[in-house]
Amino acid sequence: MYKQCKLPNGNIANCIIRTSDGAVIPFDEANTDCQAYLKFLADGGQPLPADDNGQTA
Amino acid sequence: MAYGTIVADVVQSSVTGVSLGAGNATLLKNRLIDAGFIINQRGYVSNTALSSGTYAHDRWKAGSGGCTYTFTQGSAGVPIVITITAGSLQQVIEGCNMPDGGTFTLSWTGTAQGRVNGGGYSTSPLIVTGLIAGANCTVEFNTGTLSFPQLEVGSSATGFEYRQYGQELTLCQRYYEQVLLSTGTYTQMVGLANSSTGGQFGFPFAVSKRANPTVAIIGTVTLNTTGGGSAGNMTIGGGGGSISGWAGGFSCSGSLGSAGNAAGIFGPNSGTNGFSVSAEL
Repeated sequence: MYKQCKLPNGNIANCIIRTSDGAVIPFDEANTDCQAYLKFLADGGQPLPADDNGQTA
Repeated sequence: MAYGTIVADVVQSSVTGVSLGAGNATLLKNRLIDAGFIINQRGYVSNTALSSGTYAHDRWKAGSGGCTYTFTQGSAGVPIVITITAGSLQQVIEGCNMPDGGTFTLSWTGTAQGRVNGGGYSTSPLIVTGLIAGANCTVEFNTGTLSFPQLEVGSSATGFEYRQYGQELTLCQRYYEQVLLSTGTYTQMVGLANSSTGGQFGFPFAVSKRANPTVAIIGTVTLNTTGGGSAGNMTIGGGGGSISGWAGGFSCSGSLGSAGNAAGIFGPNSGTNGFSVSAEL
């Protein structure tokens, strides 16, 4: 599963968090983890919304 | 009339009649990285079952059916024999390291069988033709013993190429790197709080990555505040950076006080702790 993350200004960051290990995956199609996320989306998956817990970027 | 004796060094390639610098006589001839299974940054434990696509020794990952292999790590830098007991083990060679294409020879020692870019498995040596310049290339081995794998240009299998340990590690780190933190109270990185529960931090990579990498915490990363008070454990938030370094945010399980405070970033007293940086294929 994946979760969005927010920038300090409240906008969604240009990356996604893989919830199984907390890894931050950039939106770079050359990154194989990003490719897996894009397949997740293509298969109908939806990421969880970002936490509003003080995380910043 | 004698004019003395001429002393000259004779430079020989590993293949008779081939000039140094041509074909199999090139330096860095082995396109496989960590072919001796000498770099194991992830700490793969012998006989652990790997799911499809999971990495073990650097640059080596399980094939589509998973993989299990056993080994005994030798002295640093000394190639070892592994025994693949289930599934298959593969390495994807990045296309930019296959700039010539054409005919290549895959050779190895052991009972495992190998293949290149799919197809049927074969015993060593395996000559493959028509590899496309600049295209990724997958080398894969099935069950059996395996050591000294080498993929080199041309149709001859030559002696295994030994490389400097640091050189091999650097080659691996283009794809995966661990940034480990010191233990105890010694701060190795510093972040900046921009609220009581979160902040920003960054660090450079030892080696530029193949692509913008995935970054994750290894073990536990702890934080302290200005003045040394504990701020609990770190969770990485949004961020990214580039192929040469990470810049991103974090949240903490405790309190950093107020925005503007420095945040010391370090590892607890035991275990392996820090960050993994992955841009694997």
